[in-house]
Parts: sequence; C-alpha cells; structure tokens
Amino acid sequence: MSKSLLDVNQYEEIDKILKKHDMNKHNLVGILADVQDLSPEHYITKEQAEYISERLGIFLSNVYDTITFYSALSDKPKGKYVIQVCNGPCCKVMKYEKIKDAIEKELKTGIGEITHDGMFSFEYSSCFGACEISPAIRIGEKIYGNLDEKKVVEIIRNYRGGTWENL
Amino acid sequence: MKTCTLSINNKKVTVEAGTTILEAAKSAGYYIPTLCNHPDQAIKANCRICVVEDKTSGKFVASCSTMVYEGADIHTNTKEVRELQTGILELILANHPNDCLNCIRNESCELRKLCERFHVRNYNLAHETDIYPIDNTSGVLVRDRNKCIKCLRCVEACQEAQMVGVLSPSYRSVNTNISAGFGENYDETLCTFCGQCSAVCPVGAIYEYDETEKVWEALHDPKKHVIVQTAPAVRVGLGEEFGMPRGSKVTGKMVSALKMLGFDKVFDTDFAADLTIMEEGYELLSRIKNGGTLPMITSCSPGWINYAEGFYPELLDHLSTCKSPQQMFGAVAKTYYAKKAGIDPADIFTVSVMPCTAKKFECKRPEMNASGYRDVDVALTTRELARLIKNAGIDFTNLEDEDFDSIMGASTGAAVIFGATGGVMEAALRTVYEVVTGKTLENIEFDEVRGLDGIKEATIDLDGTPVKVAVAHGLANAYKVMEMIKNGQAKDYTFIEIMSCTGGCAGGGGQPVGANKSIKERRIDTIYNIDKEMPIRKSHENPEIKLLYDEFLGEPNGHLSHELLHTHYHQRVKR
Repeated sequence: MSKSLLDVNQYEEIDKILKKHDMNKHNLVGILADVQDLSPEHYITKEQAEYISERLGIFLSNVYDTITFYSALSDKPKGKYVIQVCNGPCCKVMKYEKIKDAIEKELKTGIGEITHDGMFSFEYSSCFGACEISPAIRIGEKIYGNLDEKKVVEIIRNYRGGTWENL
Repeated sequence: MKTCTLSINNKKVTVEAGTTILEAAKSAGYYIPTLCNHPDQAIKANCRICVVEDKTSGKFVASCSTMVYEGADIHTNTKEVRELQTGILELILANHPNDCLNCIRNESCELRKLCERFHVRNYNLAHETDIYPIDNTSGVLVRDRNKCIKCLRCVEACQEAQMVGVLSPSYRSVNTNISAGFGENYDETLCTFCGQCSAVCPVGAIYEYDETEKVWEALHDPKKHVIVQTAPAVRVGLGEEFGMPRGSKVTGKMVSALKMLGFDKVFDTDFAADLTIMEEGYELLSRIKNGGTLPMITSCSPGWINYAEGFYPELLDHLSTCKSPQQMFGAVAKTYYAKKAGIDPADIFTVSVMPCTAKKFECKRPEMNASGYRDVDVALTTRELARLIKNAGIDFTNLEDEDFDSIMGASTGAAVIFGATGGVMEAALRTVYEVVTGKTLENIEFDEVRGLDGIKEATIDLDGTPVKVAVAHGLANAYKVMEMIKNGQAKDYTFIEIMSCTGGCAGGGGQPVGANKSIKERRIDTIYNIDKEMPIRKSHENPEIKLLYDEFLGEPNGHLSHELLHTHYHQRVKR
C-alpha cells in the first residue's frame, strides 16, 4: 500500500469511521458513505479503499464491487454539487427526459460528466422515493419535485449563485 | 439414507433427499443445460439456463439451486422450458462477440456447445457487445472481458478456492463485469497467476497467454538447438485434449509427438524433479542439523511462491531456496547439457510444457538466468502443447510410444508423483529416510499424504526421531497453514508441502479445461500407477542424477548447486 498518498490525518479520520461502525465488515456500505463524505469531491480514492480493505480484512476487489454497485458511492471525483435525475418508473411516466435535457443544456454537460468548473456533476439515480412529486431530482440531500424545464434551470442557477439554501 | 421419489419427464426416479433437480435429472438420463454451475463450486444460479418446469407448483425454477421433494412433477423439455432456455441463450448471445472462428476456446467453449444443442441459427435481438480493452499485460493470463458471460466461476475460484481475491464483480445490472477493481490490469495486482480462473471459465474470457508461435519460430530456426521438458502432470492430462478418456497415460505418445514436431531433444522434467529432491532433501537435513528456519516449505509451485511473496513476505525464510524443477532443468540444460553435447548455450532454446500458467511467470522472472542465459525460454501449458500437435496435424491417439532422450530423460517414480498433491513430500521422504538412516525403506508408499483432503499430516520415524510433516493444496489451505505458522502453532512441523492448485499439478491452471474433482482424481490415480510401474522409485537412485553429481555438480547443496539450482525470494508489491 502506498502510504505517501494518504496523509496521517486521513488514517485517523478513517479509523474513527471504522470504529464508529464497530470495525464490522458488514457495515461496509455505511463506512464507505462516511469516508466519501470526507472528500469535497464526493469520492473514495483507491488508497482509501485499500486502507479500508486492509483494516477490515476483506479483498480490495470486493470494496470496489460495493463502491460501483451503489450509485450513491463513487470511485471517481464528482462536482461540488451532484445532481441526480431519477429515472425510475414514476419519473419515467412523468417524462424525466425533459428535465434531463434541460439540465444538460443549462450545464453544457452530459449524464455521467462533470462541469469544467467542477461545480456540478450530473447522473441518473434509481428511485429515491419522491414518486408523489415526480419528476424529481436530488442535489446532495435535498430533493426537488414537480419539476418542469423552467423550474429546474432556476434551481441550478440558485446553486451557481450560492443562494440555493433559500430555495 | 433418506430418499425422495419424483417424476422427471413422467419418468419415476428415486434419489437421495437434498439432491438438486439438476442432479436428479442426470440420474434419469437428462442433461439439463448449465453455464454458471460447476460441480466443485457453490451453487450460484445466476445464468438461469438450467430452468425447468415444476408442474406441481406451476413454477419455472432453476434446477441447479432447487432441491427435489417427494412427488415433484418436473419437466425439462416442454415447449415453454425450451423457449425460456433458448431465450436466455439468445440474450447472452446478444451481448457476446460473434468471433468464434478466431476464439482460443473455439473447440472447448461451453456457450458454443449450447448454441449447437439449441440449434440457435438466427435470432432477432439487437447485437450489442461491450467494448473493454483486452488485458494481456501480464504475459501469463489474458483477460477478454468482452466475452465474459458473468457466470462468476472465476470469482469463486479466485476468492474461495484460492483466497487471492483479485477478481470480483463490479458495477451492476447490464454494466456488471468482472475485474480487479480500480481499472487494474493483472500485472498491477497480487495475482498469483495460478490460472484456476482460466481453467473454470466456460468461454474465452480468461485464457493463457499463447506462446506457441514463439516455439514454432525456434523450431523453424536451423541455428537453434531446441530442447523440451515435460512436467509429470502433463502426461496424464494431454490425452483429454484429443478426446481420450480423462486421466489417460500418454507419456509415450507425447514423446513421439514432440519428436515429430521437430524438437532436437525430448527430455523429462521428472529428471529435474529427482534433482529437486536431492537438493531439497539435503537442504532440509542441513536446516535440521544447523538450526535453520523450520518448518521448511516446498518451493516447486510458482503459484504458491507468488502467493507467499505477495501475502506472507515476513515468512519467506520458511521457503526452500530450491528452484522449481522447471528452472533447475533450464539451468542444467544450458550448462551441463550444453557442455556434454558440445553446443553453445546461446544456441540452445529450452521449452517447457507445464500443467501450469504460473510457470510462464516463473520463467520470465529476471533472476532466472543462472546459466548466463534465459534458463527456460518459453513455458507452454498442456493446452498449448495440444494446440501445437493439432496445428502440425499429428494423429495423436494412434501414435506409437517412444522414450525420452538421455542425458536428462531418466526419471523415477518419486519424480512422477510430483504431479499429485503430496507427491513432493512423499518423494522427499523416500530419499531423506534412506540418507539419514542408511537403511532401505521397505514401504515406500506414504498413504497419509495422498488424496484430496485439503490439509494432510503424517509423522515419520527417522531412526528414532519422529518428524512431523504436512501437505496442503489450494491456496485457501495454504492460507490456513501460513496463519498457523504466523501464530506459532506450526512449531512441531518440520517439513510442509504446499501446492497452489487443488489436487496439485494434476489440477493445474494450465491443464485441459472442464476438469472437476473426480477428473483430477483420475489423473492422480494414473500418476500413482505410473509410479508403481517404474523400475526405480527413489530419486537418489536415478542413474543420470548420480552422473550429474559425479561429473558436474559435485555434491547436493554444494557450491555449484547453490549457484545454479537455488534462488532467493522477495516481497511482491502492487504496482
């Protein structure tokens, strides 16, 4: 393991998270989610994953399996704000594609990509339970529903302008 | 025994309770198609091709994972079942490259055979294949993820049987694929190159790095003196590639075929196995006498060496410093043989035929050049030798038997059992006993170290001193032994044999595909039968070995031996 890539602070932070989860490999999803939250770019580095696999006594390939299985976890850097468009059945019926196209146009960025200023990344999500207000998107922990093209562009501009917390 | 009577296609069968429908159908004379199912592995039930109709419950169930129950009315060939099975096959094909013509597994592909069986001629699904780069960075194993059908056999081989854990599924749904994670290629991981993944893959998604062309090139080069050595386990596996019964003994035919291919000399790795026993036996005795690191562990299996170097770098002192027979052979061939035959070693090209993929890695190790040249130029697997023979159009099954050439062709029963788990231990004991006690060993068969139990133990009385030994095969068992050593629980062991693959070399990753435990057992039985038939069954009685020490090496574990036949180990790190 290449220790130089992970500074001492990081080890301590990850150890704290592992301790919080009782060093239990069955809590891997929660551990990975917490480790991902350490990063402003919302991702888990290979070095972090290696450290976790070593401490929990599991294969690195299995840690990678878990990271890639859940759309909420990532092994690649993401934008400051992660915009997730639900493509579940209800949102499909309510034509989420229109919302998706509007966001793409506004961000000049496609699904699975990150804006060049690093502000936004844009991806699909499976259903997060906002069916009654579909079509819906999620940005971080906030959910926005009953969207149309105009509303969604307004939301993005608020994030860009730093006034999203007033939304 | 509790039994269960059920009907399969209206035929009554009685089987043991707890049997799967798949197995019950087999006893009723029906082969239900399978892909993810492997007799040595856990039930996975992810390919679904083994679907059958249970008319009692009115459900379609996966027969590999559904147990029989009293009075079940199972149908395997109804219109609906056939349509479902064909549909599943077509869905797999829609995501599978159509390049069977130039696929290495063309003849042995389980998917292709199913297409033939289900008469898949045309289907109207859009053909959408993945585009992943092919990983041939290691020069040992090639990974073509585009052909993967996600059966997960390789994952189980890697994680459960071998506990190396390089391979794992990643992503989900249609994006699922098998990888080492974080985009790592084989050569960047701690892969041991045991090749068990390639031996269980039903299609052409993981296979050996083919080097037959390099051998043809050498054979066609008039300046090169091309010699070949064949490992003990190859002679009991090779026949399978030509439709002969599993575990057939084909030593003589193999030698004939190699001569017909144009090799200048056909030698036997068994000769080098006897040499290994001499060196390793004397090393063990010297460690016992001089307080060296014990237990000493064998070092013949390069998959095991890779594992030890990757996962137990702190315990490398336990490994015997002896090179494997393959490398001893190479080093002796380009020194002793070159001198005796009056050939410039620069013109000698050594090929080895091994039941093993990790041997390719071993012969490419930078330190394996004790002769001043690359000791072994190319290591082929059993499968590649079969390819050479087929390529040359040799009628293998009807060949007459021929004998190995001298002066590196004589061998003993002790050497041939290297091909089975426990064999190196048994061979070593036959020699060590006689060297230590000066008496003739009466009963030379050590049954305690034979067989397919994961870890075997025996205690041998060496003139009043009891010596405890252990044998492990399969890296998951190696792990158990190494943990014992690490925790100080193995102090009463003196000598341990570890082989990377289940069954030892007979079950090696380079052997013909489609093997399972019972097939490996058949190969092993043949190996022990060959041992029985040998006139000489103890390594130190091999006349050519005696000659080698008299004329060249001097004494076992001597100065020249150390230069040519011993090596050192170092920690393997991820790149």
